[in-house]
Amino acid sequence: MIGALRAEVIKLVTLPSLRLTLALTWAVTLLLRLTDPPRGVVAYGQIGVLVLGVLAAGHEYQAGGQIRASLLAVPRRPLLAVAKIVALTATAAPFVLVTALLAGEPGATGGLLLDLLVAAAVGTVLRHPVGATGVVLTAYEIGVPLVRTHLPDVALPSLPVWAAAAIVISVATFCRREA
Amino acid sequence: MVNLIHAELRKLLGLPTAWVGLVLGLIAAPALALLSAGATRQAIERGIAGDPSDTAFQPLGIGLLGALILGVVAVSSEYTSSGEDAPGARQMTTTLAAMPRRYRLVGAKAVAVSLLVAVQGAITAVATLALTEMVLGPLVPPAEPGRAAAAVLYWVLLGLLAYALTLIFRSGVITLTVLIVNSSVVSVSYLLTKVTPLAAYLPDIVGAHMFLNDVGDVDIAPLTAGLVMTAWVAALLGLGAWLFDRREA
Repeated sequence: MIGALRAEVIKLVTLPSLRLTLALTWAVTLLLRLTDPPRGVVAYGQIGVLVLGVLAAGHEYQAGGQIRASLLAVPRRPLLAVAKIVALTATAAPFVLVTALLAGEPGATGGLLLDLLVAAAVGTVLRHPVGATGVVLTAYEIGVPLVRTHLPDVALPSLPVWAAAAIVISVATFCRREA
Repeated sequence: MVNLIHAELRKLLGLPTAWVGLVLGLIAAPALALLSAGATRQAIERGIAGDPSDTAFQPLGIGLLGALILGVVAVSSEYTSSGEDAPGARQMTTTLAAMPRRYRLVGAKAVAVSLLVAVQGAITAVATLALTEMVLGPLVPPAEPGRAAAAVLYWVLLGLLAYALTLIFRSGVITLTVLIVNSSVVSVSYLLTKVTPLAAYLPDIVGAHMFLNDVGDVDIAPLTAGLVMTAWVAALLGLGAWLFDRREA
């Protein structure tokens, strides 16, 4: 378990695309703080966090099929799935905290982390970063606000429930599906 | 050139993601018109709905996500590796071997995207307007054909904008993030209009003036809006084509 965790953390911290996403998120968050948006800066930092989650989960399915090498090294899929989630949460937590601090709302860290896990779950299920980005951003930025404004009677489940459901579904698909 | 457009259309229609875009674009706007009918009727009766002639056209602003996806995958699919075990092999290599003149290739792709989005936009616009007419009836004035045509043109231009941006960035993730976020409630472009009124002329905001009366705080005539948006798209497409011509594929 420790070995699998270490491997996943190393993969996450060495990916250039993740660093780039994080750097862009921080830059945009800082810039937008100057304009003082009505919905708060966190709403914009959240977008970067969502893309981060999708890329963190989807990178193994891109060209080269690294997922097969990972599965060769750790054939027990539930173990690998859990290691991936734990490694992502632990590695991303400090960076997400910095994002929240830059946005001026350190209390938003927990919510952002859960958003990250939801995005990672979607990325794992869809296995296609471009498609998963489209789905996650459409759902978060267009779908949910639409339901809130046009159908105020529909009760949406709270974020922890969402995140738990997304993680369970992603682990189940990951364990059952051919890689 | 006809062969080229035919080839690009067949490639585009062979992509599963393109079909997701096509179906999403076709369904989203009519579905929204149906689902929000109750809330809209209440808003109109209470007099808080703004310009009633906009009501029928508002859902069309959402459905154009499908057009965005079509514009993005037309390019991003070419750069995705074609085989799991051969990360270096990309569709683009084959495409350029068959059609080495790059400006013509960019043009053919643009025509293919425009054709698909125009058909999609026309069907969606007619369906959405007919549905709104059916469910809201006399509450909204009958839709003008000119505005419907402007809405379809807006779809085509946004599809081309997505296409041009993906040519420039060569990454579907960046383009999708920028364009989806900007068509949502946390739009960065909209935020900029609060900072400077000039931001109302950014491509994704100015285009909506072509078929909606109430957009933001600035009033722009539909014709001006169309011209400004076309100029943006032409400039970005030119830049994208130039970069594509210069860069190694």
